[in-house]
Amino acid sequence: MAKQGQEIKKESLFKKIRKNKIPYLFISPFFILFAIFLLYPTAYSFYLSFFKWNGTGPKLYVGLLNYINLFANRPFKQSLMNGVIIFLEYVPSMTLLALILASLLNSKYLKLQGVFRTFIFLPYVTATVAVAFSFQLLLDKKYGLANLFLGFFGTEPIGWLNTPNLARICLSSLVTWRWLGYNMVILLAGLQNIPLELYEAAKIDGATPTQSFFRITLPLMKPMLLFCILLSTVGTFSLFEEPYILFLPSRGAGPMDATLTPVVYLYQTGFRYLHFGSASSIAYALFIILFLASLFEIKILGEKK
Amino acid sequence: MRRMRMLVLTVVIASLLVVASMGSAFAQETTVTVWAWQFPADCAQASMERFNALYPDINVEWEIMGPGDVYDNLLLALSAGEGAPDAVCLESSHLAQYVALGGLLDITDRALPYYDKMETAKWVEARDEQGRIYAMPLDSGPVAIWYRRDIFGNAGFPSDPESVAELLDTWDDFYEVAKLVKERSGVYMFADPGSSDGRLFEMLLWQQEAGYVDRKGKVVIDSPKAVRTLEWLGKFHKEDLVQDTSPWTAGWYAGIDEGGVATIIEAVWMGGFLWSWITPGSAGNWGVVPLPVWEKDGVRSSNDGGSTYAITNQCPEEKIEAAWKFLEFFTADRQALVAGWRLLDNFPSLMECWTDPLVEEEVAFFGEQKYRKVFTEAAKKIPWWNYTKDYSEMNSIAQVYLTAYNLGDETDAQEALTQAAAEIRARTGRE
Amino acid sequence: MSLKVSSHSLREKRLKLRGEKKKMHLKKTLVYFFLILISVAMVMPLVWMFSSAFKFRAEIFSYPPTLFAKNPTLSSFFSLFDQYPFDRNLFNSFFISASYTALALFFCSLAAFGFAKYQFPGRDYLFLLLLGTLIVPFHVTMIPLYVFYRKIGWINKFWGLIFPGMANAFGIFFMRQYLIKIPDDFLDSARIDGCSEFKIFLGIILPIARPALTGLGIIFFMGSWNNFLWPLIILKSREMLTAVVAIRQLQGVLRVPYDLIMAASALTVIPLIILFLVLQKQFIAGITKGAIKG
Repeated sequence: MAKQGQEIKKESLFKKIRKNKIPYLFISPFFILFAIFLLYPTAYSFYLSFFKWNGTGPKLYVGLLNYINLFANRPFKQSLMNGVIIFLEYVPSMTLLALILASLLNSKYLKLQGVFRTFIFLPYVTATVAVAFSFQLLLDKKYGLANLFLGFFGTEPIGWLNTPNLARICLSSLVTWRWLGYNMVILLAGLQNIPLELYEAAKIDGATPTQSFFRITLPLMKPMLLFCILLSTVGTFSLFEEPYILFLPSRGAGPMDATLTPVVYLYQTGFRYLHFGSASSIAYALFIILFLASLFEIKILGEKK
Repeated sequence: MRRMRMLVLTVVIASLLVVASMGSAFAQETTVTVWAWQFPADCAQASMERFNALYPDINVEWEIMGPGDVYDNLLLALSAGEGAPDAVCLESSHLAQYVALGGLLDITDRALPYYDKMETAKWVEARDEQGRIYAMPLDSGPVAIWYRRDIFGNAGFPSDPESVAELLDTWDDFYEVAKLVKERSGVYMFADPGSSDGRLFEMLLWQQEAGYVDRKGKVVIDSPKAVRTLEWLGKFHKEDLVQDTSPWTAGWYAGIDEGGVATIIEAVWMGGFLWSWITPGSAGNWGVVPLPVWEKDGVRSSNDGGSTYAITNQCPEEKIEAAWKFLEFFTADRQALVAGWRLLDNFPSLMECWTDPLVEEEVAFFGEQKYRKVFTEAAKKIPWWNYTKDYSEMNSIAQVYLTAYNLGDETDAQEALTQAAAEIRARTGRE
Repeated sequence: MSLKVSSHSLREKRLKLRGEKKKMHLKKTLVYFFLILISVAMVMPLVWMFSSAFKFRAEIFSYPPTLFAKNPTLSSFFSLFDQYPFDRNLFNSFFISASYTALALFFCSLAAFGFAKYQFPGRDYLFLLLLGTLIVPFHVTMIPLYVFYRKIGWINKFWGLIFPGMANAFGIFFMRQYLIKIPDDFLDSARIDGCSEFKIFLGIILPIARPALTGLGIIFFMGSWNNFLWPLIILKSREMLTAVVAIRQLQGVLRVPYDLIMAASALTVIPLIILFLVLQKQFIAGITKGAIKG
């Protein structure tokens, strides 16, 4: 009896699929590609992270050793630390600056907003590799524009890319340069969604512009700000081409590994030293850490309603 | 009779066919692709005409890129099993990594006749654990001191090689002279970046038969000799006695060209760079002296770099012979090697070159000094050294701790090197 | 008397107003100054790139640095095309980005159409699964994909760059937001006319969705054009490189050939800048829509 019922159910499922074959057909390319290019590699990566393997020889099962080494040795911990420092160096200031710029460009009293928006957004469409090389030239100790400019104020030439702290600051400024416009445009869209009546009502109640910024703009912009900060978090820990080009001789590591981001470390481990197993463990550990960090940020920033 | 005629005819036709096919085989040109950087390619160019005359059916196609890019690209291409060239130029420093990966062609039988003819140390990296050979030594990197005669003169020192060699007898003397040169003429003794690339440190270690690992492969970068060397180097950084520029950058070239540094502690191949493009304008002002020693009766020689040619295992069967001809000609043909030596100071690992009349030539760029003799002498007594397959990883780890010490983030040299050693052990699985 | 007082207070008021206006004016000037400063900072690296591209190498390394070339020259462009197959590299970038964009737009909107306009069992779960894939970062798949490509011979092939992101969750989500707003009557009337479902998609849906497709298309094109890490790993031979990776490989001599690099950079950046300036509105709309709804 039960068997029969199951058969009926099976048949009906089959029938259901046949009946709806068109939408299934339409969505199937995604799921096929998903299985090949995402699901399989993600699972295989997990598997590899328990092995020692140089990509060609035999795989050696090492259990959790790759993960243990990751947290016992300096580089991965330092790459996470670098991520945190770089994050603090640019994300708060860039997000704030983006918000200020968005508010200015949202104001009715200014002209040429479109022109300013174009200029500020322009860096986002340019290839990072190309710009990172121009940054190298701009920051050159002897022939760079940055030191020439500072020289007018009597500053001695600075070797921007040679010491750990300055190296991270240069990296942060390159990232800010590239992403400021993007963040601004997103925040601007958020601002344009806030009904003007709210501000008018606040003005009638005697609120100053600063007050209405903190009471109206900030709370209503919270989801947008959260989006920007989440994106910046993941972006910071995944920085690759910016440090890679700026510090090309060390393949992105920078002085004293100051700009070694987790993904730079992953690239070096996997594709310069061919430790495929430990590289997979880096990828997974980073994945989990970023996932937790995002949850944490959502909780912190999303709760205070 | 008729049968006989048939037979003759058959033989004739058959031999015609064979000749024809042989002819077409001969006419067929084999193209050998080679990855290299500019320097070895330029040296080879000097003898390309002779090579083409000798092997008219071999066509060499160079793909020029930076040495670091050769390594990165080759590693991925070998690991991918696709995209590698037929032959490749590799510095000894990185060779062992590719031998260990199994990406190079075993050329033991072909290379063996040359085994005794080459500088012995060059074979260490070219062989695997079973002793099979995977590369032919091209050039060696004996180290000496290149110095500016005019700067030494201006600082009130004698400037002829004999006196300078006496002046720079020990590394402590070198340090004292550095202080005086800086004081008297405002010129730095040499250039070394605070964010270290590790190369100078390595050279100084190899002079003392110390290094990252000992003969058994054990990590010894925290040895007393290494600590002494790092402390010595650190003094220059802390007392502002060294020009803080990274090698191979615009500021570094300018420092050399404009007389901003008095000496360069570097291998023989530096010479070619100096006169060919870094500073052709300062001709006549240069001299060369052997390395100072660390203690009495120390060795006045070390090694930096030096390259080899290898065939990759992606070279198709029918091209291996041509690729080998390329390797053999450019690593073991005396005339070709001497030409490269003359052209750009590509110092042959082939020892029979060391007696060439070229060694005795006086060179105007070096104030008529027989400077090649200094390097030839140095080459004969390079202490034992070994890069190993983990060199690039060990070097990148050392960079971190050397920089920390130079910049003052880590004040104790022993501590810096102990940490470096610990990380090298953990990451390479060595003892 | 009273009249006088009132006129006096009126003048005071006017003065105060003028003062406020002046203050307002000053504020505005400051704001403009601030905006101009930021804009200059944003454009400076690009200006530097373009001007350096027209300099001789000696001028790039001369002190003091010059903002504009003293003797503008095209020599770096000539030597770039002379010494490197950079024309081929630009073509590769164009070919990869264009085919990726076309295929991705097709498959994303096809799936989005399926999700937006049909009822079928498991739809909502499948959509949730699709959104879930967004959290997997690319670098997790990098090493296995590399091993996989090695096995199927996709190293040094364009396929490896075009396929992986071809049907991506972001694109499907983006298109679904747009397609869900199309009234069903449209489709029903077409069905009555005897159109097949696929024909409806091609003939009705795609034309209606043109604005969304443009916005998404630019995002795809830009992402593919500027993509660096993955092509760096899987592309090998000089003729197969994309422009962005080719710039990084211009390192023949020990000297970094900045003149060639700047020329190549300028050529790589220009197409996207033009594309952006022409389609600015759709581009920014695309980016903000993706963000707001996401």
